[in-house]
Amino acid sequence: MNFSKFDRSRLIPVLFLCAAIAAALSCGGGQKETGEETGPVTLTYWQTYNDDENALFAELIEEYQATHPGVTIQTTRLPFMGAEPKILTALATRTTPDIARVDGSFVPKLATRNALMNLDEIGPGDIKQDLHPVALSSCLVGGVTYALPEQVNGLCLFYNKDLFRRAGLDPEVPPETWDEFIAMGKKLTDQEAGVFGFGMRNSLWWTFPFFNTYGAHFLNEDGTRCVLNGPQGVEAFQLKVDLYRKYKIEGGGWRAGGVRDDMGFQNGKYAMIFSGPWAVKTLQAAEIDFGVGLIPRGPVGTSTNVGGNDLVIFRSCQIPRAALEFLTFMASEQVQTRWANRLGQIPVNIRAEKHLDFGKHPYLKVFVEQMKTAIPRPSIADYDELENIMNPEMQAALDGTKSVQKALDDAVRRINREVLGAAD
Amino acid sequence: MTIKLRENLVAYAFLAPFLVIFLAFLFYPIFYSLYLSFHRVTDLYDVFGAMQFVGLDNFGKMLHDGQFWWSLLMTLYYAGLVIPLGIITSLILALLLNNRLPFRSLFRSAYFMPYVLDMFVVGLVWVLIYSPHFGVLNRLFTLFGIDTFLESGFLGNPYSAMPAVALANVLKGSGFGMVLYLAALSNISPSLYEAAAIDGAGGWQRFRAITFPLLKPITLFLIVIGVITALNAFAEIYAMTEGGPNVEVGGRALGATWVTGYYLFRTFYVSLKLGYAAAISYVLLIFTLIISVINMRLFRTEER
Amino acid sequence: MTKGAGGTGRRIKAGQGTRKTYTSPSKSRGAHLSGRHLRAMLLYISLILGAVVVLFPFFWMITTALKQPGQAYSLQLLPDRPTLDNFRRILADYGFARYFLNSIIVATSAAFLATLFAALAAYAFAKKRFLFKRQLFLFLLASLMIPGMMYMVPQFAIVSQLGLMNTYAAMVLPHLANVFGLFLMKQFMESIPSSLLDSSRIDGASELQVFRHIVVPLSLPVIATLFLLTFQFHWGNFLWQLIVTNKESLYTVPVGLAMFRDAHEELVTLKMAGAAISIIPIGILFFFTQRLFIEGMTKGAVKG
Repeated sequence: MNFSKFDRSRLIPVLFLCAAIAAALSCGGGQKETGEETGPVTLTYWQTYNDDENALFAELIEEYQATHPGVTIQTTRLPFMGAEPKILTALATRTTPDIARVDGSFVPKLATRNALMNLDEIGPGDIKQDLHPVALSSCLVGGVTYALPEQVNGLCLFYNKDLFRRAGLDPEVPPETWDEFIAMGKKLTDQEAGVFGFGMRNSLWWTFPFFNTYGAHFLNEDGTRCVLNGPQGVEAFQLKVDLYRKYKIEGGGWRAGGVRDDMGFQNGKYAMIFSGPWAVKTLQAAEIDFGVGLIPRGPVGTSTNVGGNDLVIFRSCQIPRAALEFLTFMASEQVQTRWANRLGQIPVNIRAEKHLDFGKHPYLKVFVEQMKTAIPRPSIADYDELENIMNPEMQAALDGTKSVQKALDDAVRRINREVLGAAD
Repeated sequence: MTIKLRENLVAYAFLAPFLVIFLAFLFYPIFYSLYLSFHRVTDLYDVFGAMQFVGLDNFGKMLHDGQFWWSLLMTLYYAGLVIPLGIITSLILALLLNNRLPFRSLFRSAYFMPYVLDMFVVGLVWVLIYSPHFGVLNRLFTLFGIDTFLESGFLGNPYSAMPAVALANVLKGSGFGMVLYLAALSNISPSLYEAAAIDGAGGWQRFRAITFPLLKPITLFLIVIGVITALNAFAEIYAMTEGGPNVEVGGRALGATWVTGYYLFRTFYVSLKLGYAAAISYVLLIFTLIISVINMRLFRTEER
Repeated sequence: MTKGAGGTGRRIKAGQGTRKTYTSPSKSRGAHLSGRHLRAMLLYISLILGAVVVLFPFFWMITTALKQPGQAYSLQLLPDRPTLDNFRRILADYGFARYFLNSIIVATSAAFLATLFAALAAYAFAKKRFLFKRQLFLFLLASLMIPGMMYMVPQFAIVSQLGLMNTYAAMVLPHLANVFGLFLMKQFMESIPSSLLDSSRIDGASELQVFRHIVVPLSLPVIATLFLLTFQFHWGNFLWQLIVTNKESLYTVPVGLAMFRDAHEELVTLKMAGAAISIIPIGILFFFTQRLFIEGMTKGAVKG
């Protein structure tokens, strides 16, 4: 074989090929926005809207970009469940967007770990005065504003009017106190027909309506210890357990393998459930004749829990003022009115309440009313740890393997030790 | 330049690309993981830079971590399902195929093909089959009057979840063992069987006395592979059950398919507990090394 | 089921003219023949049943992907109004065309580079003498014992601190040092007569030329095998691609399918179309290269 110089020159194309592959492989990512405070800017926004919300949001972006020339908003849609891991990964790899829509419970976790910008330091916070304190509560950590609310909701009592009629109850009058609730529940329950007065979930968040209507506080005054196992907490939780065990008006919706509350409500298995604005559209589409009432009154009146989504700005954002402007826009009276009137959502901006179209969204009236007495959940960095500890204990009480007092005592002890770091 | 030196340089030049990648991504990570396991994430803006040294704290946490021990138990359960089932299936298929048949290689390929596919995607298909109410398997079961799984589906029932996942895994992977057994079977000299037949041994006896012992090395190999696969199991869980329907164990809600590989993933990806995840990987590594060492010892005794 | 037929499974394989059956000698000749046919039939039935069970999920995947969305759960074995619309939609409206492209890019470049690196290094091991050769070999051998999950955390940490998140480089680099492939190639290359290499060196060829013009052409079978194996590995490599990309434009098909599953769990027919897009290409590839796949994947195992 003759190896002439000609062969050696073939080597070069091969090396080129390898180099080209290497070069091609190292791209594929986008450029990082160096971003300036002036000049055209692009805001990256990770959102978790469902299809309806996304449609309205697309309109809002167009208008915003029209009224704010030079600003482009680039959105990425994340699935609602599973958005948090993506954000955590983005933080670890420094690929976070400028703005993200996160669940209210996630804000403290991000804020206490230095991931978010302090909004008070970026610009004027006048809008906060217009915001519903309950909605704003999840955005404040240690008095500092780390987010602006974008959506707020809470549980109310949904009831099936058909089943009410069949049980001889007035379909326009839902129970107003827990005693009435129990009495009506008994009338609505027909074990043989597989119909129950109530179907419930068993997570901590879904149990807050009980705790809150009995005035049971989760944390003590200075927020250092969990005190849920006090007398009010025990009474509240005992009521929940009794609905299933003693009065037998609850159909086991909380069981693993049981029929979940929303499914059971749609199928006519549960006459009453807790639910919120998000469920209205599905129920209307399924042509269920239902009504919405306030959570029944306990010793301190009616109350409920608070959920919702907030918009945060990540520390990596290079254009915080532009980002804050967008956040303010989303929480503004005008935009919140549109969310409310288009999708029946509770506005976070109090000023929007006078523009609400209750004709189009009759249930909205009840939702807004309920939020007036809602109590936000405890602002703790690892909120999910609370759920992880409380839920199995509550389940044990529902199963009957532990007394209510013991279940709460055990849960509170673990919470104090593991989550709050408080001495026993 | 001496010839020796030049030879060495040339050789290492050829080795270079491979070695660089190996050292950077297969060697260094082992030590880096140990380093990470002594730290904890405290800051989400500077995740890696601001990790705090916590010494052996992560390992201490592991000792008290109910979910971790439960995951080991579930992994054991999973291995206990997949390994015997897999070996038996592979063996039966190999025995069936070990005959002179037309289309033999077609069958062989048919059984082997699923092994080549991605477990996550295959798992998604099984989710469909295992669906509640209208899933194919449920419809089949209702034909026989069994409706236990109608509401929950096979993956939603805590008792059937793990077996269901195991079944999907076995059906996908048994082709691999089958081919190994086939190769071994074809190496068994037929004269052995003839001699046994002459001695009056029946079919089953011949199997026990001749075939099975000669297949032992493969069987051992498959067992070891099976254990290591179980320790690493992730994709099938992520596709089908995400840790599994919750069962109540001692007042805690734990997943019925919560295997260690999946728990490791959750710790790392969902909670971003990087230090703790590194610690768990290290413990997994130690387990795997112990098993490999045991395997080597057993193998050596076999050859004796 | 097959245990009866299994007893006769160990007949002498093809190549031997005589076929001895090991049933009791008292069977008459007539019963002999029909007994054999009966066994052959039973064997066939078992094999076909087995193939049906093993391949059913994929069949179901394809038929569901061809069904109208409303009929996702119908029990029809073949849809009465088959449609390619699911494929069209998932490719065009849900981004799978891009995911498919990414899968191809990643799998092809990874396979090419991994095979190249392994070939270069294997040549050094097979045909060259160098310092620490023995130790290096054992060192690489030892690395095979390390479970894959072990690498998840540290490799992620390395890649992310290098700023390679969301790049093709990150998706490909860590797996370019394929130790198993190295061994496979080394074994093969050792059989290349050194005299061939020496004579071309005498003719004035450089080392690279010897490699390129002699070693590579002679090693084509094992190169093809390794290329296929690494292609298959990367095509189905789910976990790593999941954690190293969070930008939709970089997702590979399995990752895209996972995202789709999270966002649109109820779109069953589309989901199956997505699964098919992942499975069908590799299935076709397998069909045309079965021998290479099967031999390549099991060769290492037989050596144990």
